Amino acid sequence: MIGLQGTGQTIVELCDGRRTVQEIVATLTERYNAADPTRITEDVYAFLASLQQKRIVDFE
Amino acid sequence: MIANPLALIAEITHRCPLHCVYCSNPLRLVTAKAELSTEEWVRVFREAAGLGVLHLHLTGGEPAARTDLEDLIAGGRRAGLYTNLITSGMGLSEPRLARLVEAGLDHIQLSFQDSKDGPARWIAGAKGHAYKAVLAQKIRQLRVAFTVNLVVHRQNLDHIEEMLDFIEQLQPERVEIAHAQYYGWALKNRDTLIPTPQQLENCLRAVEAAQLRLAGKVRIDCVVPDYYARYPKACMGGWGRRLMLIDPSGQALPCHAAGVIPGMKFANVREHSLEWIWRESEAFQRFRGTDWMPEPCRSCERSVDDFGGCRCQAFLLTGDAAATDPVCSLSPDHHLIETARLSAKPDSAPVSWLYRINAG
Repeated sequence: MIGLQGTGQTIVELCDGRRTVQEIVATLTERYNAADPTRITEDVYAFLASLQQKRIVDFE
Repeated sequence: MIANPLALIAEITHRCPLHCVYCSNPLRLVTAKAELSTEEWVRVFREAAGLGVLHLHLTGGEPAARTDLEDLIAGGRRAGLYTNLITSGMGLSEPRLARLVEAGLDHIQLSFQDSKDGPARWIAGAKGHAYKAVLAQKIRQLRVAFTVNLVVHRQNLDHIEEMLDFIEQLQPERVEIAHAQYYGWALKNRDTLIPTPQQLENCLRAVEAAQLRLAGKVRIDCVVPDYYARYPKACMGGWGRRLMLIDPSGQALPCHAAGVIPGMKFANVREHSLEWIWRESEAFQRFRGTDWMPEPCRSCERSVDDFGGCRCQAFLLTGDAAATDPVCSLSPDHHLIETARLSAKPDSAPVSWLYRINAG
């Protein structure tokens, strides 16, 4: 069992099997009013990759 | 303040077509006649969700022996629980499997006894290996998370690499390489199951190689068995702390094997609410927290990490359920484990063992 909180929880909640990673990044960029999505893109990919290693999510 | 349980282990039946020599079910099995009804189980699932439980593990015996398994899964799903089926696969046809997923099954854990038919049959005391291998392919075609569980011990560890290759072909997301733990029938067969140090070393090396090779594809979990570890496992995540087990007749246990501890009184879900059982019942309070601990646990900084290990193992090996788990290298009874480890030698002659009986 893995506990999530904060942004991690938000990202996993956005993983609905339909949204692409780009769409998740766009949603977060808007939600947090971020000027530069590069940092968010990097963080989201790194986080999802760590979950994929544990075979909790799949993404392309 | 008592934290809420996170998972409910529902042993929905003790009936099982297999007779595995390491079965962790109690030696005295619950009969079919004494099992809870569909409605009773579904009520328990709702109560569990209300208590904060997130995961439901449907296990047995072989849970597929219950003809209402579809309804139980649907009930778990309606209660909002993440529902996992722990199965040998026996009794699951392809259409039934599809119905279970349709009913809301989130995760299925399929157990194997070996990579080869002959040894698997010898360990399980029944046919079924080839059927499971075909079933695994059907599972993979469905939208359900898939874990393969393989129990390892001295009689199959010599071909761990072959078993890992076999499992890889089944394409699960997750693999559990589970060293047999010595409760129930496994304790009776301990002397033929306990691995040699050399086997254990090979096993850990093979698993590590497979983990590297399959990173991102298959997650492989494998822990050093407690007989070979320095410190005990945090059994059940601590007594009455995270998990609750309901046996087929509705008795609520803090641990699979807790029935072996003399004088324990278990409340039944037919007579009490799950919340009362969790918070108030004698059994769940008996070894909760750290107040009950003797030395060396009491003053040990690990007491809140491993909670003194397993109460049932402490009783089974020392006769005192409140003793430090003897697998701990700090336990005054640790010599019992060292002696058992000494019995782990490569077998020079064919071994015989005791098979699990039918539940009746």
